[in-house]
Amino acid sequence: MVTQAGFGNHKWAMAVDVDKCTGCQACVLACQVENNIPLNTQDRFERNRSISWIRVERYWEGEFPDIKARFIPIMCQHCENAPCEPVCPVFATYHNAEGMNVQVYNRCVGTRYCANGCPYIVRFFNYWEPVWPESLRNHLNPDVTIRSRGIMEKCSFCVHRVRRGVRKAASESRPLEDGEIQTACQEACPTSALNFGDINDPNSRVSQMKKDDRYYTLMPQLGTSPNVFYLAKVDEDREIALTGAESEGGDGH
Amino acid sequence: MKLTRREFLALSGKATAGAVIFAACGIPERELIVQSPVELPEDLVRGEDAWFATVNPDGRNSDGLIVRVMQGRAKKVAGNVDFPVNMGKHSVRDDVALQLLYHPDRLAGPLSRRTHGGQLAQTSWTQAESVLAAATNTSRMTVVTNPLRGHLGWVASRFAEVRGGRYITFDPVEQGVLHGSIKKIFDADVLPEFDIANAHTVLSFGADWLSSWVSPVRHSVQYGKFRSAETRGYMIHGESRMSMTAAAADMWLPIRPGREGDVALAIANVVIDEGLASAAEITAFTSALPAGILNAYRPQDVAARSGVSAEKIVKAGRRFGSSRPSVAFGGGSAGAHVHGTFALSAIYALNTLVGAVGSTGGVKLNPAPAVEGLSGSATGASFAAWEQELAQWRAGNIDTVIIRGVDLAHGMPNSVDVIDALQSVPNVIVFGTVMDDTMAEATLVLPEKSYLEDWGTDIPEPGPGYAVVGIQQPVVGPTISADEVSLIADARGFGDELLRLAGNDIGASSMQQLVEQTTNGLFNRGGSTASVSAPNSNLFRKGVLQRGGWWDTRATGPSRSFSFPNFIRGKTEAEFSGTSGLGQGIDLTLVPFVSNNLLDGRLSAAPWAQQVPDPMSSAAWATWAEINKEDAKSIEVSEGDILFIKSTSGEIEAIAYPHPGVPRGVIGVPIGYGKIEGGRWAEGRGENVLKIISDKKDEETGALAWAATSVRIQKTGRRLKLPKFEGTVEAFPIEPGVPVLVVAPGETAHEAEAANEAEYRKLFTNDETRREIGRDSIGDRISESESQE
Amino acid sequence: MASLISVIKERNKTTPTWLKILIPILGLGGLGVVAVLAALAAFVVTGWLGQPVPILGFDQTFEQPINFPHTVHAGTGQLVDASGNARLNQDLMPLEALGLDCTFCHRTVTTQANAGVPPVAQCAFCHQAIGPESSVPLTQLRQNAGITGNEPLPINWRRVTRMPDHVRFVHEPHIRFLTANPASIGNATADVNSQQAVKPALTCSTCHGDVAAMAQVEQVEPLKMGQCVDCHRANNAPTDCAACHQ
Repeated sequence: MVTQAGFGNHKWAMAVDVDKCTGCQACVLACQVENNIPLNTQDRFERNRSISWIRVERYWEGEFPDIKARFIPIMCQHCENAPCEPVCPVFATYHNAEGMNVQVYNRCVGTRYCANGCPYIVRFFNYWEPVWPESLRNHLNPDVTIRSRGIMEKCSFCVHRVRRGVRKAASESRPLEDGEIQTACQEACPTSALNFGDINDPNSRVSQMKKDDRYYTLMPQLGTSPNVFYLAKVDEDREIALTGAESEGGDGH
Repeated sequence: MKLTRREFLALSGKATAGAVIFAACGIPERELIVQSPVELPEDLVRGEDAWFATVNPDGRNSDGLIVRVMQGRAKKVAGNVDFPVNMGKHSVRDDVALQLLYHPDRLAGPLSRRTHGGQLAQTSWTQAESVLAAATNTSRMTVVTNPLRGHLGWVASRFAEVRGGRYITFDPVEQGVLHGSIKKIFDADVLPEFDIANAHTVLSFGADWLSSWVSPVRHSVQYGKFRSAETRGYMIHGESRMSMTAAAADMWLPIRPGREGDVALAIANVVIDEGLASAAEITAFTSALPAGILNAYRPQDVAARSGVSAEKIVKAGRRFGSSRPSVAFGGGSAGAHVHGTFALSAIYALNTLVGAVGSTGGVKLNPAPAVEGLSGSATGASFAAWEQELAQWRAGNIDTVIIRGVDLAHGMPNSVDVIDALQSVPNVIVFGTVMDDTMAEATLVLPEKSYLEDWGTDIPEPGPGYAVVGIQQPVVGPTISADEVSLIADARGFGDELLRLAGNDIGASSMQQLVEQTTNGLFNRGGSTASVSAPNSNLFRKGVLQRGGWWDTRATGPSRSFSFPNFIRGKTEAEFSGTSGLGQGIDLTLVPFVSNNLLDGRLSAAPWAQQVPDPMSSAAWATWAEINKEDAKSIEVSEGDILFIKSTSGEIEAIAYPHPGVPRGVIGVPIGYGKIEGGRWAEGRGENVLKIISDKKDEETGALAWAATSVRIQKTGRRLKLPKFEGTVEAFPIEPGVPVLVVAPGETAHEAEAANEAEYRKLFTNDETRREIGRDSIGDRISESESQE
Repeated sequence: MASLISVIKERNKTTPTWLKILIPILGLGGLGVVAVLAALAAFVVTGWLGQPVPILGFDQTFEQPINFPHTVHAGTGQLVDASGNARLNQDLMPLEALGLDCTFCHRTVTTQANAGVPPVAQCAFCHQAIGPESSVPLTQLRQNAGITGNEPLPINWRRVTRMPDHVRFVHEPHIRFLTANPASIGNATADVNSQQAVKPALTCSTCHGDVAAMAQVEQVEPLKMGQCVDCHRANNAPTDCAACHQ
C-alpha cells in the first residue's frame, strides 16, 4: 500500500458497541446535520428513497412477552476489500491509504453499480435535487459538498473532520491524540456506543476494542474486511435460550 | 456582456451536455455575508469558525451545548463536554434548534388583530409594544409559560406579581405526580439524581428515561457507563408498551396500564420475604405502612392483576434486592393515573428497602439552587388548577393573558374548551417563533428570539447531585433575510420585553443584566473556587460564559435520613374513562407517549424532528398507532389501515402499526402531532392524541391522568402507506446473530457465532425449514464459512 | 476526373428528380449540422477548460459594495490619482500608501480555512477619524459601521478568488508550508529565495498575485485542479482525492 504523503500513517476505524446502543437516533440526525443531507420528506419515505448515511436498524427477536428489540447502527463499513469499488466505471469510489472508502462526487456519473454491489446497502442515490428553503441554507455546513441529483453518496467517515483534526495537530506540531477526531455520529452518541479512531495506533480506543471478546464484523463470509466492527450485544437470557434449544432438539428459534 | 466563470458554467450546463458535470454540485452556503451582525468579541478577533457555549432550556433537562458559528450563522450544535448534565453528548432535540432558528416560517414581525374574529395583520413593534403596555397595565392578568427553571420563569412570575396578576405554568405531559411523589418519599423539592452509571441493578417503571423522560441525554450517558462497567449493569423496566427504554432493558415487564405500583410492592415483598434486605432497611420501608397491608401485593396475586408472570416478578425482586447497588425510579405513564401518587410513591419507596438513598449507585438528592430567588424546580401547574384558571377566563375575570413557550390550544384536552376560554379573554398576547394553534386565537402575536439568540440562565433539574447553573448566551445575532433587505425575524426576548414593561419594578432591565447579576452573585459567594476560578467578577463572568455555566462539585445535596408517610391509602386502583356509546370496535387502553423527536409537540415545526424515524416503529411524518398483533387481527387490521380512536372526549385517526412489543389491550399513540398551525412542516400533520384524553386526575395532586383513557378502536376502511424507514433498505435477519450478534455474559463472539451456526445448521438440515427458506445459496454460505475456519 | 464526371452524369441519368433537389438541400443541411457540431464542440471544450470563450469578456473581478483600494492599504510608495498626479492630504503633503501586512486585515488566514474579511468595526477603528468626510466610499463605510448613528450592517463583499466547485481549500496548511519553504512560493513579489521562514504575507502572491498593486482585485491564477496537483506533486503534498474533495 502506498503511504499517503502529508497525512501521516493513519488508518481510521469505527468500533460500535451494540450492547450500548439504545436506538435513540441522535447519530442519525447529527450525521444529517453535519453532512448536509437533504430533508427526508414524507414522499421520500413512502418511496423508500430516504437518505441516511447512518441508520439504526431494529430487529425483533422472540415472541411476546419475552420479545426483545435489538438495535444496530449501520453505516458504510469502509471495507478494505470493497465490492463497490471495482464496479465503478469512472473511479468515483476508491480506497485511500487511510482505510477510507472515498466517494468523489464530481467524478460520479450515477450508474448506481456501486449501490448494487454493496452488501450492506449503505449507499444512497440522489433521486432529486436537494432543496432547502432559503433561510434554512444558513445552517448548511460549509465544509461538506452538497450532492446534486444523480450523485451517489454515503458515509465519508466525516473525512472533513479527520482532515481538520490532522491539520490542527500538524499546525500545532504535535502528534494527533486519540479521541481528538470525532465523527458527528460519535460526538452525538450519548451512550458512547460509537467510537472512531486510528487502528494503526495500538493504544487507541478502537484498537483496544478490537481485542474485545465480543468483536465481530458484519457478514465476514463475504471477505470484505470492513474497517467498521461491532461488539456483540450481551444478554443473560441467551444462555437459557440456547440450552433450551439444545434440549428441545434444535427448533428453539 | 460580462460573464463570470460560474455564470458561464451554469449557462453551458443548461446548454450542453458536456458541461453538465460542472453543474453537478452546489456551493454549500451563501458565503458572501461575511460578518456576524452580532458584536461578539470572538467575532471581531477570529472572523470565523467560533464555538460558543450555551444551554438548551427548551428541551427536557438543560443540555449544555457548544454551537459552531461561522460568519454569524449557527452551523452545528454539539454537546458541551464540560457541562455536568449531558457531558458532551446531545440528542435529536438539541440539533433541531438550528431549524427553529432558521425556520422559513419564523414570524417575521408582530401580528395583531382587533377582535377575536378578525384577521391577524402585520404591525410594527412600536405599535405592538404600545398595545402590550396598555394590555398589561392591569391586575386582571395571567402570565402563562412552559415550566421554566431559570431567570426567565422568575421574571415572568415577578412580572405577574408586581402587576397583581397570576403566573401559571403549563406542561401537557404533566410531571406533577412525579414531583409530588419525590416530595413525599424523599422530602425533596427538586428532583434527585439517579446514579445509574454506578448502579448494578436499575429498576424503572413507566418512564421512557432513555428517550424523553426528565433528563434523557444524561440518563443515556450514564446508561453507556452502566453497560460497560466492570459488573455489567442489569436493567429491569416495567411499562405497558415497549418503548425505547423497555427495549434497552434486560428484563421487560409488560405491566397492564395502572398496575406499576402493584408490581413495585410485589417486588418489595420478594425482597423482604427472601431476606435480601437488612432488618433496618425493612423497618425503614415498613415503618409508616399499616401492618399486613403488603399482603395484598403477593407476587402471585399481582401477577394475575398485572399480566406479568409471578416468576418474572420474583426474578426481578431477587435481582433488585441482591445485586446491589440498586436504584428504582419511575414516572411517565406509571404516574398518569388517578392513583398516580400511590404508584410512584411505591416505586420510589423501594429505594429505602435497598439502602439506595444517598448512596453511590442510588438516589442522590440535589441541593437547592445556587442562585438566590430561583426555585430550581419547575413543573406545570396541575390540571385541576388549570381547570380553575380557565373557568376564570371564561367568566370574564381576566382581561389579558400573556402566553410564552406553550401551545395551550394544542396541549389541552377537549374536556376543557380552551379555545372558548381564550376567546373570552380580550387580550391574548402570545410570544413564539413559529405560528402555533394558540397564536391562531391570539389578538397579538409577538416574535420571540430563539434560545440561541437570547440571554438566560437555566438550572438543570435534576442536577447531577451538586450545584449547577447553566448560562445561556446569544450565539448568533438576528439573521438577515436572503434578499438582504430585512431580518428573517425581527424578534425580541420574552424576558427583555417583560423587564422593559415593568420598568424598575423587578430590579433589572434586561436578561443580560440578570445573567451578570447571577455571575456576580456566584462570585461574591465564593463561587470562583469552583469550576471557574478568576480574580475578579468580570473575568469570572467571562469564564462562566466560556464554559457554558458554573458548577461546584462540593455543593452536594443533603444527606439526611428521613422516613416517608403511609402512601398506601386513598386510591390504589386505576380507573379508566368509559367507552359506552362510542359505536362498534374493540376497547383498548390508550397509552399516549412523548415522541422521541417532537417531545410534546414543541419541536414539531422542525422538519428534522418530523423526519427522524421513531426508534421503535421507524415511522415519521405521521401519527401512527402501535397496536398488538392479535388485537389487530381481531378487527382485521394490518399496517396502513387507518383507525378511528374514540374516547368520550373525541376521536382521532391514526395509521395502524401492528407491533410485536405491545401487550394485548393497549394502544400506543405518539404525542406531538396534529398541530393545526405550526409552519409548513407541522401544520395539519397527523392527529393530536392529547385532545381525546379524558379529564381524569390524580387524586392527590390533581395532575392530569393522561394514561387513564379507554378508547374504542374502529377501522375507517381507508388505508395509507405509513411513512417509515423500515423497508427503505433490505434487512438481513437471515440467520441467528446477523447482523445483531448476541452473546451470553462471558461468551465470546466467536463462540456465539459457532453456536448460532450449529443451531442454524440444524434448522437447515430440517427438510421442512429448508423448503420454507427455499434458498440453496444459504447452504453455500455455510460451507464457505466452514472452509474459512 | 473524367470518370468522376461520368459517374455524376451516370447518376444524373438514373437519379429521380426529387432526389436531385434533395441532395443539395441535405448537403447544405449537413454543413449546418457540421457547423452546429463544431460550435457545440467548441463550447464543450471551453466548458471542459472551465473558462468562457474570451469574446464573452471573461473577467474575474467585481464591483464591490464599497470600492476598497488595496493599493492604498497594502501598497507602498506615494499615492497617485487617476491622472497620475500625486495625491495630497489636507496639509498638501503627498500621501503615502500604508503598506499594511495582508494578515493585518485577513486575520484568520494562518489559522483557518478562510482568510477572513475584517468586520466593519475594524475598518471603522481607523476610519472614524481618518479620511475626509467628502469621500463616498468612506461615508458608506461609516454608515455600515453605525458611526453615523444608524443600525450597523455588515458589508456584503463579493468573493473574487474562487476555487472550482466541490473543492475545499484551506488556507492554513498552505501558508504553513509556504512560510517554511519559501523556495516554493510562486509569483513572488519580494525576494524570498532565502531558506529561512518568511512572513505569511509574503506567500499570498503564489495564488493571488500582487494584490497590493491592484486598484480592483482580480483573480490572476485559474486555480484549476491541474495547477493544484502540479504543486502538490512538486512539494510532496497529499494527492488523495479526499484531501480536497469532501
